[in-house]
Amino acid sequence: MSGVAAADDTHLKLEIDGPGVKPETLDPLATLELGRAYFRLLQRIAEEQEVSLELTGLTVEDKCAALSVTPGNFKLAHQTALRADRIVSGGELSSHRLEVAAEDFRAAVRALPVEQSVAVLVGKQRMPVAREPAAKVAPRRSITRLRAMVVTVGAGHQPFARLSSKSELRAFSVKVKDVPTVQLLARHLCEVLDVDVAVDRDAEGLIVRGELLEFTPVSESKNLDEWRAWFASAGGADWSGVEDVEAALGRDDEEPRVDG
Amino acid sequence: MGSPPSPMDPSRLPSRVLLDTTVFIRAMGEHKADPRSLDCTDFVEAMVAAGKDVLVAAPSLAEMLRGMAMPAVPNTGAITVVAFDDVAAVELGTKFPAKTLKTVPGSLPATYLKYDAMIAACAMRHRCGYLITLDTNLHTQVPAGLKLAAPGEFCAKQMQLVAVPALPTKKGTGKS
Repeated sequence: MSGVAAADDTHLKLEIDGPGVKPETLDPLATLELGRAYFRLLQRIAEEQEVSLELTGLTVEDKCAALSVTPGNFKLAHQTALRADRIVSGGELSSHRLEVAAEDFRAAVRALPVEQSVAVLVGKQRMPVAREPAAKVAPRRSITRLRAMVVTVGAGHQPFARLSSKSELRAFSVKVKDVPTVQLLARHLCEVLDVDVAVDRDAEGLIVRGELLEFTPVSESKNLDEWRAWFASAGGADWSGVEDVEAALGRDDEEPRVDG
Repeated sequence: MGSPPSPMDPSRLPSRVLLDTTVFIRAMGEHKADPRSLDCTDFVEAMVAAGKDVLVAAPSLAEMLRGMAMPAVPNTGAITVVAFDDVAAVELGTKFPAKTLKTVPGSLPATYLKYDAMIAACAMRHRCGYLITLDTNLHTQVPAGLKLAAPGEFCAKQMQLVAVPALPTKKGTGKS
C-alpha cells in the first residue's frame, strides 16, 4: 500500500498519530484490527437504523498514518461517525450489539502503543478517540409488560429478538436466554405476543437494550365473550347492584377519597 | 334475525384507545339500565370488531375488583391490559397538573395518587389517541395533550329530517 494523502472532504479516516508514526512504522495487525473494529461499529450502527452504509476502497495515508475509505453516502457516514463517537465515549447508551462492537473498537485502541493516539476524521471534523469512555450514562432500568410484535430473531453469538410495540416510539432488541427460546419465538414471527422484558432506557425514555424474561401468545379475538366471562367470574355481577358507578369509584369527589 | 346494526360510525372510530374503569365496567355488560351503558358496549364491540386497539390500565382492574379474587386475565387480541410502569410514572409525575397530585389533609400526609390519574397516565404512556371515559371530572386533571371522549361521541350522526319542497306543477295542469 502506498502513502497517499487525500485532501478532499468526502473521505472517512481513522488517523493514528504519535512520535515517529508513519505507515512504514505501524504494527500491521494492530492497525488492521483497529480499522476492522471501527468500520464494523459503523456498519452495525447503520444496520440498527435499517440503512445501508457502503464503504469502499482502503488507502493508507502518509500524514502520520490514516486508514481512509470512501463512503457511498457521505452525509450518512458523517451521522454514523458522530453517533459512533457518542457511543465510544460513553455519552450515549446503545444496544448490547453496538456496545459489543464499541468495546471491540476501544480494545483495539488500547492495543496500540500508549504514545499513539487515534482520531476519526470525517470531512473537516476531527474527533479524538479516548482509550476509555469519559463518563458512562446510567440507564433507567425497569421490568415491564408490553404487547409487541416479533419482527425478527437471531441465534448467533448472543441470541436476540427484535420487537415492535405500539406502546414504544421505536422497535427495540432484547437478549434472549438461549437458542431453544429463539426457536420458539421464531414460530411467532410477525405475530403479537405479551412480553415481559427487563429494559434499559435512555434519557428520552427510548429502549436501548433489554432482556426477554417471558412471553405469552395472544389469541385472536373479534368479540368480548371471553372478557365478559372473565368479568363475571371476577365478581363483575357485584357491580350490577351498584346504583352509581362513578360514586362507587369515587369519581364524583372533588377531593381525593380517604377510605376507612 | 341478526343483531341490530351498531350505531357507531366505523369511519370515526379511533385507532387506539384506553378505557376508563367507568366505561370498562359498563362494556362488560353490567348496568344495562343506565342509558350510557349501551353506548359503552356498542363502542367497545365496534372497536373490537374493527380490529382497533382497546386498552385497559392495570389500575382499573384494582378499582374494579373491590376485594374479589381475580382469575387469570384473558390473553386475547380484543383487549390489552397495560401496566402502570416507570414510563407511566414519569408521565404522571412530570406532565400532569400539580393539582392532580394532592396531599390528603388529616391523617394521611403523603401525596395521594388517585386511580384515575394513574389510568390517564397509562393512556399517555401507551400512546393512545383517546381516553374513553364518563368521568367529567377527569378533564381538569389531565394534561392538554391527552384527548378525552365519551363513547357516545363516536356514534354515527343521525340524518336530520328536512321539509321537502313542493314539486312544481306543470303549466296549465295546475289547480286554479
